[in-house]
Amino acid sequence: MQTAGAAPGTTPSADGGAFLRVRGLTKHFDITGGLLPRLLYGRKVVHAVEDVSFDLAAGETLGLVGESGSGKSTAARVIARLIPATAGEVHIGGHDVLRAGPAEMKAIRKDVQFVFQDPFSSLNPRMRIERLIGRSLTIHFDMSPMERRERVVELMEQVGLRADHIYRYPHEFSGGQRQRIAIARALASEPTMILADEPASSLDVSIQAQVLELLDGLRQRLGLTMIFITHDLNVAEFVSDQVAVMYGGRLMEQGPTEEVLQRPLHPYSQSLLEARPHFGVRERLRPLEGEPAIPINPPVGCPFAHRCPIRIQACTEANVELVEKSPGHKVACIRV
Amino acid sequence: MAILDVQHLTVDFALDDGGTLRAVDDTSFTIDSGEVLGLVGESGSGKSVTALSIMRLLDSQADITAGRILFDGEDLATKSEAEMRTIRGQRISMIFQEPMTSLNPAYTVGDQVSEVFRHHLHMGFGESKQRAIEMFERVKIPRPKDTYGKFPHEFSGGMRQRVMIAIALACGPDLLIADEPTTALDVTIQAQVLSVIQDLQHDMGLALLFISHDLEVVAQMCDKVAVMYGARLMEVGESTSLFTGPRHPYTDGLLRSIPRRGQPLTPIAGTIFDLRSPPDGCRFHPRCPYAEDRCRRETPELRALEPAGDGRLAACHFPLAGVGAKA
Amino acid sequence: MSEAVAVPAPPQLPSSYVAAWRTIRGIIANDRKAQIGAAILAGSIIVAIIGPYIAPHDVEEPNVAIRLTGPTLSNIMGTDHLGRDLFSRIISGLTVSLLVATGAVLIAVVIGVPLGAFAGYQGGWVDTIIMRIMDAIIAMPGRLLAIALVAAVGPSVGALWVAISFSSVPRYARLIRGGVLAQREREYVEAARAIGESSGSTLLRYVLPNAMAPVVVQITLNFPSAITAEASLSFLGLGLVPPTISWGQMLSGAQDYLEVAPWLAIFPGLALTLLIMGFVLLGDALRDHLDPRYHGRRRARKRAAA
Repeated sequence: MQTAGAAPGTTPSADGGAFLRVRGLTKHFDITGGLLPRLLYGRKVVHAVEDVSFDLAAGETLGLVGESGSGKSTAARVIARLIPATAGEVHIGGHDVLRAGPAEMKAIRKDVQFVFQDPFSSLNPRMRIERLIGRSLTIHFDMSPMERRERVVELMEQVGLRADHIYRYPHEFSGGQRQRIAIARALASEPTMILADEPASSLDVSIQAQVLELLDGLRQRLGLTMIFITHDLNVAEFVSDQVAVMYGGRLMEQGPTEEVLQRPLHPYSQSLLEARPHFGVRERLRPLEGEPAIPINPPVGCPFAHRCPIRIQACTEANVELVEKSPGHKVACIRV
Repeated sequence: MAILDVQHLTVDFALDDGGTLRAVDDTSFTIDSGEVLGLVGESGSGKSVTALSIMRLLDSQADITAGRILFDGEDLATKSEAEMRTIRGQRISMIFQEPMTSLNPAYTVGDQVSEVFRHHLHMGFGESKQRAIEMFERVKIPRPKDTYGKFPHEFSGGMRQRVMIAIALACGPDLLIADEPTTALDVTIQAQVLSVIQDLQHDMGLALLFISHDLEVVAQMCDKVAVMYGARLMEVGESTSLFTGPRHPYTDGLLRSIPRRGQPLTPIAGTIFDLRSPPDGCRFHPRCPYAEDRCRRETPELRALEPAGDGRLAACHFPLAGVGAKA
Repeated sequence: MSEAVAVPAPPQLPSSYVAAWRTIRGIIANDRKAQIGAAILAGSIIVAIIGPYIAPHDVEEPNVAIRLTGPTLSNIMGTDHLGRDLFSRIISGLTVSLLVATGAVLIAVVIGVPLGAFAGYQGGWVDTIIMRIMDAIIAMPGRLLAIALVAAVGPSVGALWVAISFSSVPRYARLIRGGVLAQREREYVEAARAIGESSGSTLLRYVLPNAMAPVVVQITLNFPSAITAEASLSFLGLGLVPPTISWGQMLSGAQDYLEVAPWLAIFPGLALTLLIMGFVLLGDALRDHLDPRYHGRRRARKRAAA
């Protein structure tokens, strides 16, 4: 019987090191709403993700940080091909994800798993835990019912659930326990990579810490590559090796966690860090004013320009590329 | 002089199945004029019910079964509903996590703010409009004059919360209760709203009861902090010293649940008990790493701790040492 | 494997159908309306099955000597213009009513549910085409259509089934489509895709089971209309022809004797009303409990207490 501890089958992609390679990833949503509005007002397209590129080495965790509407969740869903991309390329461990046929897609589904934000809506209310976790085993492995049940119990114990709860329904569990079920479900197919979309942010402080600790422990033990989406900079700092900051669908800054969160270069990253409340000195907050605009038919230029304290004319005249400022630390800003 | 003095507040809920649930149990605290008290707790701790009790906005299944709430020296329980309405409009205000539920979608935000002036301060239309626009300026809504004629749905969450603050502070109350006012907001927007609250609290000399689950937000905002768990107060103290040297194991556990780079997480084990059947003794003992026999038998009272004088209270038989707490 | 894992033995695992039945049973146990409705229906079904054995008289045996007599001890509901026992004929008509209604509802469900589910799940032009056809059917007057259809192919049970079910197919299609559209956006459906479920499996295992509740309610509320449809068609002489007995036919025949023998209209009318009431009461109770809005109210009350 397989054990989840097996080393990830990492096939290095063509250009060496990177296990996950994202290039020019773009996702547009047409929200025009029919022919008539289109004729009257023209097309309305939300540029949820715009030209996002990054690499991630096997076994590393990328913290994808941003506020609501920044496109971080959409980016993760496009990378996992839960929704189709508008343009771009995604390579995971040698798979060309966005161009994979049905057979290869099944292999990708096995290798790449997702943990959703809300454990109250991500579990089918009409399935018992045995089936919730077991379906993944049925799909990806050839197991007898007995083997499957044993494996489900093993997975449950791995995430700190009691084996005798295997025949319960999701509604019989608390939020933290449900997220554990969701994590066990993700681990069932023995993935090499997990995308987690704010997996702990709907939970109470003490429960959130339990779930984070569990995920982080599993990641280390199983050598998982991970994309961890969060709005919480503490969480990003705790779980990730790399941090990418998104705003208005674009990457603003990316690099090693320490670099980005200790020495942020982009004015948006800086304002994000300054906005975070912290212990110790009780000082008046002096936050940046303004709110992010929803990127509907966005103009060229930096999406942060309208709030930026150091903007110049050139910021709104052309799109800004990510430029490497120090090894691995990239910034999309013409002023730094 | 304490503007709000809550003494041994106890609130019971009648359940559909005939049982009762004690949502707030023997809770006492005070807030001075111009002081900011943070009430911290996880879901089910009773912090919101405490706030609603002060406002006398509990629903019909809930009952204050013991204790007193003194506001400016007067017991709120003795007030008639009409008197309470005046107090709620003019002297105590409240803002909530989701402002959309408290704003009327059918009226412009300008109408809703100026209505406060017309109703409570009996102003005329022109004056109330002028004052409403002033309030929009004070909560730093950009282009206050244009804002007047807009409807709530035309605003973002952060702007709506500013409108709510404008309504809440229109009559210059003595006490503002803010129940998770920024929980639904993004970090940068949260900072904006918090800064508006901070500035107005300071300028108006407001007493503020700030309810939140977020320890860092509370640390930033509050002079004094009260930590609630399972309907009871666990620890009360001056904000900075409480967060640097927690004396109650629950406060300590909460602080250790905040992820920090390069430090292992040591979350509190287990989950909160079922409020319908609280454990004997200290309510935190099933999850407490230091629990001993006495904790299972005796309920610890909230009491002043040594060294005396720093105002720290904790409900624990075996309080931690404070700064440089037990590892 | 280092050590054996203690796997709890599977308990008696009810399928989702058993679970659904338990839900319905639970509702019946707790709701007076549902109890009355269920009792009427259970009684009707029993009578329909054992009808021929308990009918006191032969339904076709004429007895001119007692024609058009009112209720007596031997003919408790009186007799018709040929002296046939009305009570026995009503029992026989019940079987026909239930048979026609059940068939019509079943056909509507079997066609409407997959159509609506497919349309909602697939979306795009498939959805547009299917739903526009459904809209077209709704736009046609149902009864008239049924009359035309039966008139064209001639009366038979099969013709009635098709004629009556035709106009209710869109109701099921719309209901299930709405449910599927709502479920399709749920995170657990996305989660199903993420673990590698095929789209067919996602529809069958995740979407449909969570979208079926309104259909159950619709079924119980569809029965009364199917029963009245059959009765009206028979009343108009477009339903089943003698020797098959139908309540509509009986009511139609009673018209000629309304002044001398009103019981000929009263008893079949009462039977029809009672049967329909059974379905309506049960359907009402089910809707109260299965409708998400009702749950919303109950949850809101619980939340207030928390």
